[in-house]
Amino acid sequence: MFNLKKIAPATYVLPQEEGMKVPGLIIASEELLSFPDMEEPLKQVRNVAHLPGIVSYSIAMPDIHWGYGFPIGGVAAMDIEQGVISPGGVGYDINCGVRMAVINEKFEDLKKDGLLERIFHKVPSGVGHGTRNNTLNDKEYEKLTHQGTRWSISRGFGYKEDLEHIESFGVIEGADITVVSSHAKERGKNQLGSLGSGNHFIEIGKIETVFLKDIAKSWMVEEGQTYILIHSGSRGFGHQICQDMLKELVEKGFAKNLPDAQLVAAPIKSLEGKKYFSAMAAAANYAFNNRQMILHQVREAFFEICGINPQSIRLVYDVCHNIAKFEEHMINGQKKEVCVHRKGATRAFGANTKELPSYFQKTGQPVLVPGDMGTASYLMVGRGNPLTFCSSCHGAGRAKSRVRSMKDWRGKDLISYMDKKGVKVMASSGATVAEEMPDAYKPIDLVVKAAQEANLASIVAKMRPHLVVKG
Amino acid sequence: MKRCFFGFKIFAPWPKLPKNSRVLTEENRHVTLAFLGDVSSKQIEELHQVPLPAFCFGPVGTFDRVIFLPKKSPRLVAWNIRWQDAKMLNDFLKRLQHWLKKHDFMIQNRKMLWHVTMCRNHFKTKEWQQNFFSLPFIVDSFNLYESLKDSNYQILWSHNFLKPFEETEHTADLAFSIRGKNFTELYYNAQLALAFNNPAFLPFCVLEDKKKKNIEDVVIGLNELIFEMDKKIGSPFKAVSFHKNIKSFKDNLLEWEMIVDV
Repeated sequence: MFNLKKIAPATYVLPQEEGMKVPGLIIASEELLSFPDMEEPLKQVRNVAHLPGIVSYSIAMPDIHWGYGFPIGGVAAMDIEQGVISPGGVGYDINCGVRMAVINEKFEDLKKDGLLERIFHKVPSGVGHGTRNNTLNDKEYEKLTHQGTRWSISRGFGYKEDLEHIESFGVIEGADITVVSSHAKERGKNQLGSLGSGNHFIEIGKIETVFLKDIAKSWMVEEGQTYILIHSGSRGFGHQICQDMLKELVEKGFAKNLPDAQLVAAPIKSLEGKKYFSAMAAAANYAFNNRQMILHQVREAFFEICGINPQSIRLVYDVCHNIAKFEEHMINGQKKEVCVHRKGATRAFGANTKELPSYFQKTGQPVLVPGDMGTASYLMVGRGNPLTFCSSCHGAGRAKSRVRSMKDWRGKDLISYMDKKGVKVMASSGATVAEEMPDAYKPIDLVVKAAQEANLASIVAKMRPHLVVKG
Repeated sequence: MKRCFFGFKIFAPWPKLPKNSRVLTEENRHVTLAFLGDVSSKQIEELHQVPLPAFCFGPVGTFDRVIFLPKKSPRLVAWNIRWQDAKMLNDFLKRLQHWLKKHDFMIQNRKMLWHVTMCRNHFKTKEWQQNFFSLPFIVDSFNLYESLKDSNYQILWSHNFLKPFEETEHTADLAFSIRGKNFTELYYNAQLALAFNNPAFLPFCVLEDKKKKNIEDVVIGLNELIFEMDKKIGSPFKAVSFHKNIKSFKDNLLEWEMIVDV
């Protein structure tokens, strides 16, 4: 039905058909393509190719699955003059992302008794669980959305040196809180520093195997070391911003002539396009602060239980999964500024990219790829592949619906099951654990292998989770 | 002779109920419409001619409180019903009663108290009161039941309704097929679908006086309710997407694929 043509290792072209402005480009292995439920996301890749101003390809990452308008694991770059910006191309959870920190202590040597419980207690998680002490007023909202992560750090939630280890130094320029609705501010005011529900998590485990020793060494990552992964986003604040803009764009008729109303998009240079970008940037900066404050709580828990100095818990990197950014890329041999939508995809700049801090210019940027909670997560390094606008995968990608997962695991003791697999799990809701069981996801090993074969990113280290907090 | 009655079989997101009491099993829970007493085989044949409901979708409603019956020395625990369209149900009941009387079936003439019996004898009133919270339900079928021993019932014949909503598969989000005669009904049924998935949503539902002209109106209305829930207690639903996949379903009925970001 899709007539995919292999053009390079783990790289397929989805031919351009009537209405498509560019062909599709699918990064996947044959094994990944043979997974059930690939039809809907591939249709979405085709739909995205209809958007005005799309450049080169409508791209799918190896962890692609069915999303809202755009597939999750989708990348699309738009011409600044002719192109559009689409809230569905970023997703509801604006700047949902993941950060990784390491501790210079072997996981085996770590005093673990009570650590998971303390983290679970300190970091609010689950539906409706926000922060206890932080209520944002308009003034603080203005500062937070303008300053990005510097806002948290100036209030004692972390350290200056963290900033160099966050994508875009922890701030998306161009945020404007005045275009954000009171509904969005209301939803977000008590949620800063909280994990949320769904697939958000905190994971602690061991760096099991290092593959690229030189790069790992330069990032001070070692085998046996303890790592922390934090996955969260912009909470209700970002969701409401996305919803408000979708409503406005649909009401103004921007969805006309699109194959799917969920692709609704405004010209980048239009008032609506500029408004969306400003609001999206505000949500992205909220999300950076959210992860910063969660890391702060986790650092405190390590201090309280293990006596580890919080400052010695080093942030390796923080990446955005759901974002639209203005970036320069080589297109047909020429450098051009485009608006890159990454939805369920990670920026994967290679070595010598000037946007990266000097620390990462020698190696390329870290690409963090969490898997399911029972298998493994990966630390990779970006290769700066121009074919995908320097993007790579963001996770394992769901293989099974939440409803199916709930049915399959109904009545079973999930916590004991995971415990036997060597993973201690705490969660606000048993239903979330059932929805997020390892078999709900594609095998992470296949996903990262495809990304590596297609030269999007290379595996630096494999990590094994042992302690997990779920929302 | 068989002890028979007409009733609705219902579905609800049943919670765990207090133990140590004679709780009716899920498959035996029903709404009694008319108790007929002992009925002969010939009469059972005759009952096939009973007027069937004119509505095609299974009626929907909510359990709004726990009641103990009879008021003096209660012997059973029941959940009181609030129908989404009470007039439609009362009209049908009148037609049914009228037919039964006309055909010489002995039925009681007291005022209808819409309820579902949950438990008989040996219950702790306080425990049931404390554990109750509002829930949505849908009617699955109109049935002639035979009453067996120990709160067990056998269906002798059925008239099935179309489902006003059904949860379907979606890889990343939640998806539902929502059905209705018009956009306002889609709006109501979509709310109940969400409340079925998570009953904490029920207090935020607005199930009357909200006319909806198109699917955008429906989506915007639902997202307003999700906002209210998220603001007050947190919401497991983040937003209903502007997914406009609507198709005609049977005779002039609408079916909408509702996708909910979670």
